[in-house]
Amino acid sequence: MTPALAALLDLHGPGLWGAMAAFGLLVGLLTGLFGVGGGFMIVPLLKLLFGIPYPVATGSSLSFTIGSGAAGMARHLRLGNVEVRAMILMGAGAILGAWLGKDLQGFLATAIGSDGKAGFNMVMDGLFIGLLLLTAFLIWSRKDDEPTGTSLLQRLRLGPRIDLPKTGLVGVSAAGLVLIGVLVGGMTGLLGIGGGVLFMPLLILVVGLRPHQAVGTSLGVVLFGSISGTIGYGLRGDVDLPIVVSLLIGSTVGIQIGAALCQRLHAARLRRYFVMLVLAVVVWLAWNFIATLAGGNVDPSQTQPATQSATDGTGNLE
Amino acid sequence: MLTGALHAVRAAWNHVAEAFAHLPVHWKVACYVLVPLLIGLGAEFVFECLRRRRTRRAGEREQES
Repeated sequence: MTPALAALLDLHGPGLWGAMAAFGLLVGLLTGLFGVGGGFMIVPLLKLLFGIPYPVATGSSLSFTIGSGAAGMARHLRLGNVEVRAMILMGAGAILGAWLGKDLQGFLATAIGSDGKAGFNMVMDGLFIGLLLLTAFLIWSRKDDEPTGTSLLQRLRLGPRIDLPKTGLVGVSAAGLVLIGVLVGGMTGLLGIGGGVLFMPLLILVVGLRPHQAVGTSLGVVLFGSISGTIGYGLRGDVDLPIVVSLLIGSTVGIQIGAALCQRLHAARLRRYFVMLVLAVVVWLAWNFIATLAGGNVDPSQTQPATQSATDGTGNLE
Repeated sequence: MLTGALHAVRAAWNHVAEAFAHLPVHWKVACYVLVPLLIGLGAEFVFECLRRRRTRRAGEREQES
């Protein structure tokens, strides 16, 4: 296991929170440039850069997603891009799913985390490597096609059925929408990600939403899931509010800079930069995975996370 | 003066952190949800106001020319 960058640079106190805000700025830039939430980068990079244990990184990422998701949803509500009925049904599923995802992570930590939590970290590293590779592929081959014909949820023989007036879809399986919500929420609760990149194709191809409505509606669903997940992780003491606030302050500025830069850069070039960035994180995670495997399965970041050196246990600066 | 200001900020931060550490867990959880919600919505409100002002000024400039 390689030591976290924050430990190498001996970052603590205000320096650490400043570095977190700079990291938030980078995440915000990604959001502004590529239209992705950035949650899939926050959790692994909080671990790799700052040595934050996965449960705290996940809980803090979910709390961060509440802020970024609420801002995005407010914008899309104003623009009329939210299909409210679908959002409520999928949101109900996401609340349940996020709670189950949080419990699954807790189960994994106890079941395979007895040896200094290295086994648990390796499973989480593996999950993030798979997730990031899938994200890179989806962004690389991104096509915001309009859905054609009847959607899978209109054909699904699972009642009751509802109509979605904003999209003009009739006879959509309500149970199917709730199940999709459980799936989205499960990923949110387990990995602390918003999941916009992964669930956009699902909402377009399976539910039949148009791309703009899929963005607005998925933000609402993720908001429901992240509130539920934050409550779950918060009750376990796995949310760090200074991390959340630092990330949010940086990202709100980063989003504006990213959105301005986005108009000056070519879309294909942007996609290439994004994929390169994601692959760099994959290589770093894989290196970490192999180093943990070869290094006797003991993870030093679990015994002394960066936040512990920054605070004296009550959150006070040294 | 800058050092003094930094010390004051640090003291205020420690005071808030101390008070937060003694809150019951349900109040802490409420903070984990409400603080990011307020920051996110507040930032969106501020940037929306700035966008509208920019659009209004651009319209005014266009009318003048």
